[in-house]
Amino acid sequence: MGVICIDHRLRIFRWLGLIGNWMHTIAVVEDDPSMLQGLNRLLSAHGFRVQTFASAEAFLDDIAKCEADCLLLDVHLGGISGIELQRRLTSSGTNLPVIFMTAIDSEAIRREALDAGGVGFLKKPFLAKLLIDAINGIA
Amino acid sequence: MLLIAMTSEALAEPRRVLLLHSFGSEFAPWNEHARILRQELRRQSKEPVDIFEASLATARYAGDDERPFVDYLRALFVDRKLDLVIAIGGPAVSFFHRNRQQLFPSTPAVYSGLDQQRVPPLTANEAVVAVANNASAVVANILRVLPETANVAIVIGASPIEKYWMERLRTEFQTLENRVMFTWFNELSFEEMLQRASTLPPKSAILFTLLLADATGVTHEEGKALTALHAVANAPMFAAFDVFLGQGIVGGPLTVIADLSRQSASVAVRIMDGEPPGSIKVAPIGYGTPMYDWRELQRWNISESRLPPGSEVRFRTPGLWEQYRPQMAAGGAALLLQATIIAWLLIERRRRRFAQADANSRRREVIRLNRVTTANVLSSSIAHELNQPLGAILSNTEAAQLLLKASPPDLAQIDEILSDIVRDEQRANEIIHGLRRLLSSRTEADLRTFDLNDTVGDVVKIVAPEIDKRAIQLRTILAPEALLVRCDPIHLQQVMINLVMNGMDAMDGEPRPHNLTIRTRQNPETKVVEVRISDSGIGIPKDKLATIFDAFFTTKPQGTGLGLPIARTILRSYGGDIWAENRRRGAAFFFGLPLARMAAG
Repeated sequence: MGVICIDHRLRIFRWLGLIGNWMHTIAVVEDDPSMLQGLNRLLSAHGFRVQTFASAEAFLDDIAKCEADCLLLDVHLGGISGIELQRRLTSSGTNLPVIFMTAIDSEAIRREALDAGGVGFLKKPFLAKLLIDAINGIA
Repeated sequence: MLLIAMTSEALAEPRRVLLLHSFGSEFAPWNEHARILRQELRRQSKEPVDIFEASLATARYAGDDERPFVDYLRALFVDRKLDLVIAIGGPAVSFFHRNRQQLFPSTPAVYSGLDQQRVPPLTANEAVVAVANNASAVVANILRVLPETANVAIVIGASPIEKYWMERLRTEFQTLENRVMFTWFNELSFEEMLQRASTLPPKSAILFTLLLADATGVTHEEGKALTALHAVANAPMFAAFDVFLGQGIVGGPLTVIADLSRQSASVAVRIMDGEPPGSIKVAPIGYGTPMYDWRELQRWNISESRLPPGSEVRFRTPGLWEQYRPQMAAGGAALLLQATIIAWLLIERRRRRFAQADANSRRREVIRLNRVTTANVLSSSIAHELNQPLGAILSNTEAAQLLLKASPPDLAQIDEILSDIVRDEQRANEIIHGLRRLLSSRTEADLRTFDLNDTVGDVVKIVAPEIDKRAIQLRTILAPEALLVRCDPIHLQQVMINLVMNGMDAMDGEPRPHNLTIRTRQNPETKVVEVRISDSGIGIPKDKLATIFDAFFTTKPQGTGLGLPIARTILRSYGGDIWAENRRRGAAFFFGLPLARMAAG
């Protein structure tokens, strides 16, 4: 429920035009350490606060501490998959906007991800601009 | 009845023929003449022939009184009817012709074998079969075959007939004396003749004319003199009668005694059959086809090209071919057959090589296509695998770009980022490299000796994304020691990928957990490197265990049915094999390869 509060607060700040990206917190769930590290650096360089998780399980464990405004979620995770995590979040009433990313270029996966409630879908590798646009599109 | 009996008695009386020899019945060449003549008379005559023979002594000893011999002959036929007299040779003809009135004035006579120049005037009751001697032609033959000849030794005896001949030959040879020197043996004993014949100067030849009695009066029957001379002579020998051919003479134009004998017998029989002798005219017997003794030609190094055209060469020592014709023909045939078989086998081998090369290239292509198919199946996993480092690289790069714009830039972090980029680039490169190797179309297998455990590691890397995607638990249990095998590593990779993919497919839709295990070991007994790939899938239908390695057998809807046969083809080409069995749950595939010795290089 706290997450909704954060979302609400962000909207107000954005409306006030007083804040930049540093105000946003992005949670990244990605099982490829390189990719996770790269995204962490990229988003940090763009002024976001970043919380990283190596698996869906790790994210669920720490969901209480999560202050994210947006979830950047890999579709193909070992263990609980990204889409499964999204479904669980939705069914638990957690209304966290999710941007899916995948290394597999497949229309079926894209549809599945969006059907599951994703607000964005990025195919790896992607340019930073697409990611930033997707995050800003949420706000 | 009586008349018939008398007639038949008269008819039954044999025809009586008197053979009158000049010198004796056993002197060559007349002994041979007489023998064939007797034989021919009996053969050609329809009536039985009773042959009497008598020899003149006067031919040997000139000046003897002929009357006792005439009386003897008359006495022989006082009470018997004589049908024919055949006088053989000049002396006998002369004798008979001279004494005809005292002897058998009304008996027909045939004069046989005398020189044509010695034929006496004939009466109507006489016929002649003469010989056309040509001593010059005989010497000319010597000079033809041995042009170097400078000396011709004439072997001739000392009896009256031989004296006659010596004089005649001297006269005939006068024209040749400017070309060749003649030596006469007429005054020599036979011992001396042998001595002389063995010590003749170079470029000599010996012409054996007649040797009835030598200067010491010793007679020489049956042509033995010629054989004895030949045994010691140091020069080639020649003669004018065919009966000497084969006994040591080189050969040349020869009087064929058998022709003379047959012709004489024919005339004799015609006369006895009632033909008037005077009406029978027979051309003198000339020289027949020139004949040579091959052995003498060889001995005296006379080329056959020197011989007159149409010559006949006799006594050719049979060559290997003549001696062993059947054996050699069989051997030749065997050789030919063998050669044919060898040629055929070579052609077949060539064909087979081409066919094999063709089959090999097709097999390589099928194997490669199988890898392409495999790669195709793996492509989404591989793309995923590749896009991960690429995504990381891109994110890191763009982060670094932003960090560079800050002042001061965080160089420590940028350095860290660049290191990560390099690492990810290597990761991507490895994936691409592995894929390229898998898809490479090479003409020859890249034979190497390597540790099979390494290949398991490579395969796991390639299939890992797919394994992850399908949430399969993959376990690898590798032998602690290096398992050296000798083959193309890509082929081995392909076999393992095929088996792993089959295992993964076999578990699709089966209850979880999905376990795939790759185990390697070295069989301590057989020295074979064994790989076991087991799954917890559906297993192999029992009745299909034997056929799964046959081409086009598949249980998968999209399978080509080539994975396992290709795996088997590859393994067998390296001396290995593959087999399968069902487990309590799932199937296990085993394959073995011979353990290789340490790599030479």
